[in-house]
Parts: sequence; C-alpha cells; structure tokens
Amino acid sequence: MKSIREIEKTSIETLEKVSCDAKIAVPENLDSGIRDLVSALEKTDRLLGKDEREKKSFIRKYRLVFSAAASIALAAGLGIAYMTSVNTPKDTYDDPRLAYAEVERVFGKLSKTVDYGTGKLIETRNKLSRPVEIVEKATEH
Amino acid sequence: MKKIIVIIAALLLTDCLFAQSARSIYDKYSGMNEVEAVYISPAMFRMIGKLPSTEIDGNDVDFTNMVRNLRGLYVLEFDNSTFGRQLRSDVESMVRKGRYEKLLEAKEDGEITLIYALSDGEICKSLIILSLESGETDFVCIDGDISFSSIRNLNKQKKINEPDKL
Repeated sequence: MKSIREIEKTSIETLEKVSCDAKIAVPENLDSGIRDLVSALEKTDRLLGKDEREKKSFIRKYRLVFSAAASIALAAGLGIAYMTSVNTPKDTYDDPRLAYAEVERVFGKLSKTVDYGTGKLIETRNKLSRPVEIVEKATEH
Repeated sequence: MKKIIVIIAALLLTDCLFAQSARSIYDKYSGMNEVEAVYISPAMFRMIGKLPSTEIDGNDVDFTNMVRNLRGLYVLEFDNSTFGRQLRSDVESMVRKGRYEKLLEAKEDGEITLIYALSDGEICKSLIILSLESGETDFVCIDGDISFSSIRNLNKQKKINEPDKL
C-alpha cells in the first residue's frame, strides 16, 4: 500500500489511470467517511470563527478603555519629560568656593540640629533610667 | 469627537501624577522678590572636589564623602511670614503625599526646626530641613544618597570626646 507522501508525489495522469482501474476496490464506507470528515471540518471552522468573533467583540467593547489608558500613559510620559527638561534651575554660584561655603553653612545647621536632638534623647534616656532603677529595687525586695 | 474628549480627560488626569517635589517648591518660590534662593547642582558639587575639613563648634568634621553623593542642594530664605506659612503648608502637603517621614522636631530659643527624610533603608535619598523663627522661614532640601550613619557622624569629634554620653 502506498503512503500518503507517495500518493502526493504521484502525477494527475497516473491518478486518473488508477481511478479508472476497475480492479482496485473502493472501500464501502469511503463516501460517508469523507462526508463526515468534511462536515466535522466545517463545524470546527464555525466554532473557531465564533471564538474569533467573540474575541473581536471583547476588543470592540473595551476599545474606549484601552484608548483612554494609552492616552493617559502617553500624556504622562510627555508631561514628565517636558517638566524635567524645562525646570532645571541654574546654579546660583559660579565660584565653587562660594558654593562650598554655602554647603558648609547648611551642614553646620544640620549638624547643630541633629546634635540638639541627640542630646535631648540622651537626657530623656538618663531621666528614664531612674524610675527603672527604683522599680528594679522594689521588685528585688 | 469621542477621541478628543478622551485625550483631554487623560491630560487633566495626569495633573495628579505631578505631585510636588522639593524642586517644584524651589521653582515656585525662587522667583519671588522677598525670597533668597540658592541652588547648587551636581556639576558644582563635582567642581568642589576634595574639600578641606570644616569646623563646627570648634570640632573638625569632614563632609567630603557626603558631598560627592549629592544630586542637588536647594535653599530658600524668607522674611515674609505669609510666604513662610504658605511654604510650610506646601512642605507638609509634599510630606503627606510622598514617602517622607519626620525625623526630628526641635524647639529651641523660639526657633522650630523640622527635619524630614525620604529614605530607602539606611540611605537617605532626600533630606528637608525647615526652620521657623518669628516671621523668618528657611527651607533646605538636600537630594542625594546620604547614609544615616554619615548624618549621625557629623559630630564625630564630639562623640570621641564624650563617649559615656552615648
């Protein structure tokens, strides 16, 4: 028996000769088998087509939402790019030594404030240690 | 027509994305007449280069490592109490909307100093110092990667001299 590939490679004239050959028996259910296959293919196509149609209607339904989201993303991106490019301020000082003096002043203020806060924290901790000592002594007795 | 309406609505909605930042506060007030404004860019910090040690209250402190990681310094000084109140309100609004947290509030000799930090673990990405004193308001914002240990060690010499207090 020939394989499908061999049959595909066979020329039309050879196939016609074979079909006219009465000695080759045609299977009994070939015709109904072919009709069943064809109808099954048609049903499958219709089902696939239905899925495709449903997909398309989903996209159509939410098109407005998708387009709004895309517009927002585009506008946000353009806006952020514009804001960052336009709003860069100019250096106040041209001389690095003057800039350094300003940095020194700022860090001096920061240091003074942090030092004050740390000092208060230590003071509070010391004040809290006294009641703790009293409680510990009371619990020992 | 529908597309135009959608685009306009999108543009209006994006306004909420542009939350106030320190730079926007600086931009808002720096152009006003009664305000002294200072901005130092990352390029200027690079030019400063190796810094000499600086003295604070008689003790030497080295800012070099901290300054190299700075991305910007914004300073605003007001003598106008109206602008000062407005600025405080803007800063508090920015703190609420952003991820800033209050590190410190100190009241001393009639001056209130608030420090807010935007941090990522042990690294402080942005530090805001707001000082309020009888009509005068000072706003300082330091943008950069500053470790909290650097801020704590600003008074290194004091810590060495007074170890028992720590």
